[in-house]
Amino acid sequence: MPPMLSPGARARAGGLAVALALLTFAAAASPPTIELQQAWVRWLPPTVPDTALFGMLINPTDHAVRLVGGTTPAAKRCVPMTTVRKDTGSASGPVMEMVSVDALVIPAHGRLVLEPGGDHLMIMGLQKALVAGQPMQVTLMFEGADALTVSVPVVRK
Amino acid sequence: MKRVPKGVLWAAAVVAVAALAYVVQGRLGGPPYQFASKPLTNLTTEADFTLQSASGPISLSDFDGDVVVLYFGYTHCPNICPTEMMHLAEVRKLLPEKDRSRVKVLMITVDPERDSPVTMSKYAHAFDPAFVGLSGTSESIAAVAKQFFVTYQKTDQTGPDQYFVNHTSAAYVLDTRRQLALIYNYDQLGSEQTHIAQDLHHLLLRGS
Repeated sequence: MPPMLSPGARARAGGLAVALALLTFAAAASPPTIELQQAWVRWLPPTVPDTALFGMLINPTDHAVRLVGGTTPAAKRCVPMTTVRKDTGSASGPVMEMVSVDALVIPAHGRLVLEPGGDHLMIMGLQKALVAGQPMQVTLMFEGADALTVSVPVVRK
Repeated sequence: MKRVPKGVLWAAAVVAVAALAYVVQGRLGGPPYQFASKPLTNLTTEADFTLQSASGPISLSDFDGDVVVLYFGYTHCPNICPTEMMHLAEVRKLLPEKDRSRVKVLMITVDPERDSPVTMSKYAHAFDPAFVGLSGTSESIAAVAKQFFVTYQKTDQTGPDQYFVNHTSAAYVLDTRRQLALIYNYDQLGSEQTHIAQDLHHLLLRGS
């Protein structure tokens, strides 16, 4: 850093350097891959050995990508699941059936919403009790894109 | 003597007229209260059952005079059941404080094999310390479910002691006389909590 620069100029120069570094990194990295936004893992009482990851997967690529599973140091396995509503025709409302699937599809230039009552990544066989506010590291495995490792907050909602 | 400002007199007059209108409307019946769920007037039998809580047997009749919300689910469900339990906890928070102790939320397991009374109690308390978790024998759970048209079915095992239980997802509200009054589906529980809290308040008013 040149010593004659004012603190403001120094900060600007620093910012520029970071931006340049990021640009270089982006140019050097593999083609755009899957992004996970607004992700959260549901906090559940310690009696429950399973939980689920929710959020939105963004696919900027030209081809459909399949979420086929995942891994986490916090649990034994991660399984893509979907929820099938089966109308019973009675006042008791539909049966919400959880069905494990081989993959959940993120369309080309599209998104896949993982939400309670819908598609989600079930996290099964938790090693220890969930603590709200603490992050959980999860690696999502795809077909058609690189794996994605994210740190996702455990949220009570 | 000080003159009362005109504005204050007008305000007082408006309040008086509004109060009178309110009283007259009340006397004449007024428009009926609109529940978020269709009131179930054709079901008039008194419900009852006895199931096991962590601290011993609990009967529905123990809550006579209160409004009871029943939810059938299981603790190994990470998706639907916790969502609905959290929504019910939110509904209870929206109630006027004096109503809160008179609205009892009971969660009944549809998976008695894995959910003991203690498991159910811990699970229910995690959402709201006032919630009650109940289990029982497979036969007693089946009998209670039948009273409320609840259906549930175990799926194929995916591993040792690993399976899902597909079940209907509604919440049932019993009035202060143990009569099934309202049913809310999954979507309503998620989006109409304020209205549901008003419904419960209204049922308490009607019963007292």
